[in-house]
Amino acid sequence: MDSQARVTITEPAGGALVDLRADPAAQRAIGRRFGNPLPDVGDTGALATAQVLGIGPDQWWLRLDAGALPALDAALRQACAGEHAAVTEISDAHVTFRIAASSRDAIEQVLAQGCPLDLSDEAFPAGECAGTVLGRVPVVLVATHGAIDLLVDRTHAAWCRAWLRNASSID
Amino acid sequence: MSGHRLATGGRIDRATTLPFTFDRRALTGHAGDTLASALLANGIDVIARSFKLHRPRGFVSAGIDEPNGFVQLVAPYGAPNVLATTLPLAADIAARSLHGWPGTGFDLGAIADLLHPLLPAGFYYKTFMSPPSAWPWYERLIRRAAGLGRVPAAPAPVCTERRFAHCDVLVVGAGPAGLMAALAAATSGLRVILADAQPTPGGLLSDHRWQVEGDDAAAWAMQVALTFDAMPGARRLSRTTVTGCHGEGFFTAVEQEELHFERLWKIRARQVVLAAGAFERPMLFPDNDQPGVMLLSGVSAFAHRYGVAAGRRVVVIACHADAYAQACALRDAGVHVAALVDVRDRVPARLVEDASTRGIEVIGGQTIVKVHGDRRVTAITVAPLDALHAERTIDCDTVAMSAGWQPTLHLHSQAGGRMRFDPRVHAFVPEAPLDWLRTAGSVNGTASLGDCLREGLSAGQSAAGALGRPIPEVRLPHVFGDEPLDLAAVAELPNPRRRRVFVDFQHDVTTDDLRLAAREGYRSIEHAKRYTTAGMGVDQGKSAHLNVALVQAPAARQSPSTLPTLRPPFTPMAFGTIAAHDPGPLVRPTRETPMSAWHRDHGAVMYESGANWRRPGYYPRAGESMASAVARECRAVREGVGIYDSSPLGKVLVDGPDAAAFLDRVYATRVGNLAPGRGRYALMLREDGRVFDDGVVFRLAADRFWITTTTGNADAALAWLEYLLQCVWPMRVFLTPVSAQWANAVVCGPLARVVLQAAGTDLDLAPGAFPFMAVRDGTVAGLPARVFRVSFTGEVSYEVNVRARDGLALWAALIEAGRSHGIEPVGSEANHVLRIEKGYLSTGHEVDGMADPLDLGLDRFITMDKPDFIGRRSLEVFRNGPRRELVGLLSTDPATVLPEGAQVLVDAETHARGFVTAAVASPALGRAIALALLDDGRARMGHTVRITMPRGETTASVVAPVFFDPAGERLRG
Repeated sequence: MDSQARVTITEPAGGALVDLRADPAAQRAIGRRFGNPLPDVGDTGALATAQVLGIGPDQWWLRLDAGALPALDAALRQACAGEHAAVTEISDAHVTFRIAASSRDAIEQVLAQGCPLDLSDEAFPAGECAGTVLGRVPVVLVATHGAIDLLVDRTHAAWCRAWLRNASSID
Repeated sequence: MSGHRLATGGRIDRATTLPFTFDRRALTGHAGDTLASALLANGIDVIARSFKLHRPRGFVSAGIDEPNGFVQLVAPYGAPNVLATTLPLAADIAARSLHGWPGTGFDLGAIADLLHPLLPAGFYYKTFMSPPSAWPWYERLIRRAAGLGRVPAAPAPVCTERRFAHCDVLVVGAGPAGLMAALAAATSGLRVILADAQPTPGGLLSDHRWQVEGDDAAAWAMQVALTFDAMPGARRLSRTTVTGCHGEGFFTAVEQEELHFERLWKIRARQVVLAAGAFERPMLFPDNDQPGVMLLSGVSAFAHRYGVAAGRRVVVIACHADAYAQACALRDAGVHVAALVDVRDRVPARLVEDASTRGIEVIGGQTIVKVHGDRRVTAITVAPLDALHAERTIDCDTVAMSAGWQPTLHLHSQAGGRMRFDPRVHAFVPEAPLDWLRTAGSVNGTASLGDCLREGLSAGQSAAGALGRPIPEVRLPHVFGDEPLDLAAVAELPNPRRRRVFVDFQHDVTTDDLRLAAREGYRSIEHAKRYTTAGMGVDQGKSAHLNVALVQAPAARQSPSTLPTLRPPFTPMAFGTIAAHDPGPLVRPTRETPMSAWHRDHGAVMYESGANWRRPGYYPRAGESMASAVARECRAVREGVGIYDSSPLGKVLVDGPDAAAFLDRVYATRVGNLAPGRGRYALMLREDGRVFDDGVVFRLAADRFWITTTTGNADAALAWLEYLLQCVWPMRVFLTPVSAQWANAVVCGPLARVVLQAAGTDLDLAPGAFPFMAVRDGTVAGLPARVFRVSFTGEVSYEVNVRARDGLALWAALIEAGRSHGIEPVGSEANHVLRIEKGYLSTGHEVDGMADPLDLGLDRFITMDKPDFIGRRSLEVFRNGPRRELVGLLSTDPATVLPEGAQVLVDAETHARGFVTAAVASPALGRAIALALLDDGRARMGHTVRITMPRGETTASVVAPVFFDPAGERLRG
């Protein structure tokens, strides 16, 4: 299928990832400090320059440029001072694969070989994220315009790279 | 040689001739043929031998309900039990028949048929019961007699893909009802998947002479399918069999694009329209398994789809009006239909006239009392139902039978739908639709084409309505040629000569077998099925189920209430279809550390070590044996310095004001009193007091801990702790797994400190400043590092953790710094030896899921004066034993390494009192050592015990389970 020929798979480097856990009081404190609330599970939002992924009811992942990490880390810790929260850098724990194509159908045809989620534009529009599996490994997907970012545990990255290569070469 | 190719007709490409072989005979067919149609076109009568009695069998059907036509595919690749009626013919296919030795023509196993009075239902259970010791011999005999396919040795070169798909409406079946349903649902803008097993849409339309919208019905079907294809959100899957419903809205389907490509679909649908049609029911008259006796639908399909006449002189026997239309259509297609035997006594004159003008003699109110022939029908004897002595013999080579249809209820039933017997259609129909799965068309027992179209449209509209869409406006097409079916409910036909009547052709189950089962007390259809094996063949009884129910129920003095359970998969699925889509190394998601490439580059023998990790086992030098490599690595750690990659270790950060209290509940060891910067070995128990996991707990700050789990338990331990926090105790604690964030290298041995210093560090490594069981943050080799003083080897040991991106740089720097000190990379084998010398525990060896901490001699790590911890109560209850205790074993012959898992026997007893958990040759001790779990082991210190060996026994003495540096002085240095 020619739509698949246009799928590109890249591994954007240089990004930082922060795991944020916060109880309701800490969430409110962060909302006050940054001026907008943390997103719900499956939604994405923004804190300063970071993209925020709603991973769990009290868990978020913050994606940002590595250079912006110290400032954000300090701001988060300041906002959460005295509250029940945990801020942990996990930049090295995950590898990001960016699966891009001119149509979502083409991306879906690659990922639908191993991911049970409905990845159509209607069901998984840009701005949403989801925890799911790819083949046999857990992954987090982030929908953007023209791409889906796939975050996988670094220990599985080599397997995942080979899997994506195989899946995007079929047909 | 009865079957032959018709001069015209069929959807085959007569210009393309494909050579193939069957049972080593070179034959040809055409593109568009199935293997079955090509065989029939070549006049192949006997396709198989039956499973039990080895009777010769020919094709009965042209579709997936075919009970006999399973073959062994030989080329282009080997595959057992391939159904010839659904296998598309391709050039150079080679196949051979099953169940016949030396061949289907002359089959020695056919002696079973002569002995059939001795082989009644359940004869396996009656005959092979005793003596029990003979079963292995019986099993070999039965397996050989049964035949079935052979699993090929070579992998099948089939590209298997898996695809998840989601839709609003799944329509199963692209016959008239399915097409209308799909059209309606897609018209309302929904995402619709229309799946059909056939290569072309229309179902049975092309096998009939119906007209829809003034057009040939098959052409109309294609037009609707193309209209559907053009709609947004529509996806049509042809050659795709929906094989099962596995929970609400979740379906599997297999798409077979060609011989070398297939795709497993996993479809989630919000609404389903089941328009899967019906299977024709074979008629129960004497000798109905003779090759040449076929289903009327099969004879029609071979003629209309493939341009193949099943025989040169066909007699139709039926009990409904549709048989007339089919007989006439067959005649029009060029098949010589000699007569139509209608078991009904009242036959409409117009139908008789239709047939008679085509030269088909209609014989009303009669039945078949005998089928003549040996390996092919040569004639039949018919007689009036009310005067069975008035016999008449008719020459023919083919009998086309039709006794009605059984709706294909598999998916309805698997989805949780119930069925009921409908006397009007003389078959089982859905009791009621489900709110998310509707049935339409002949799956409801509906026979009229107009009604099928109406039901399909209605089901599609209802599905759209259920999803909140306005009801789509789709016009119902006009139908011409629709006749009332007027089906006579005929279960069994008279059998005045008491000949055999087959219900299951593949498994040789007769009506008498079912009656015998009923007499012997098998009243439930499920029991009767298992006892007689009716419906348990590779075809899963598609053609047999209804007849089983119709014969078994009255025999058991019941009325038919249900078919046997219709389990998935609907058609046989190869294991490769289910599992082969992640080929080669992808089959297992192996995990790597940042140093994995270094290990491979430096000759490490890598292998699986739990949780999908591949780790270095040992690093042999050129020409070095495994034993000497392991010994060399052990000596380096004991005498100089070694380094190993411990990155896979499970690592979790525990944060929050309740972190200390939480950890004191989940560990049996007290950890809440640790000072920041210090750590402790700790045990995690299950509720039953057995050891679940062990690791170290370090306090990084007042409300932040770093805990480690064993590699294999990393996921399970984290899930357990999360469960406790989310569901059991609402404590203010957050867990953050950081196993992959950090890579680590463990430098161990008397020279470890020297090497770490040489690599460059800002940490004060003096034992007073950085003692055993302490953690420090600093830099090592210029990299930000978190260093733990822990030891799994019994030597001074630094576990240097760095960010994963720095892992390889750290490793290289430490190797370089240690080069002048003789540093050796150490694999898991040497680690195993070193930990056994120290008596340290290993999950899966000593921690076997049964041992509690007292068994393992870990009393000092249990803090009974804490408020409570998981497993505490069980420890108290079982405090007084009995115990299977950890001991050391020294084999009497110091060179004998005991086998791991060997039984330990005491005195002259013959039953095991324990087992060897781990055993190695210890370089430090210069002899073999072992650990074992032994009943009352500590009371047996100094005793000699017996150890089972692969041949005979050996002896060993029981010693304390620490062989090296029992005081632990070295690791604190």
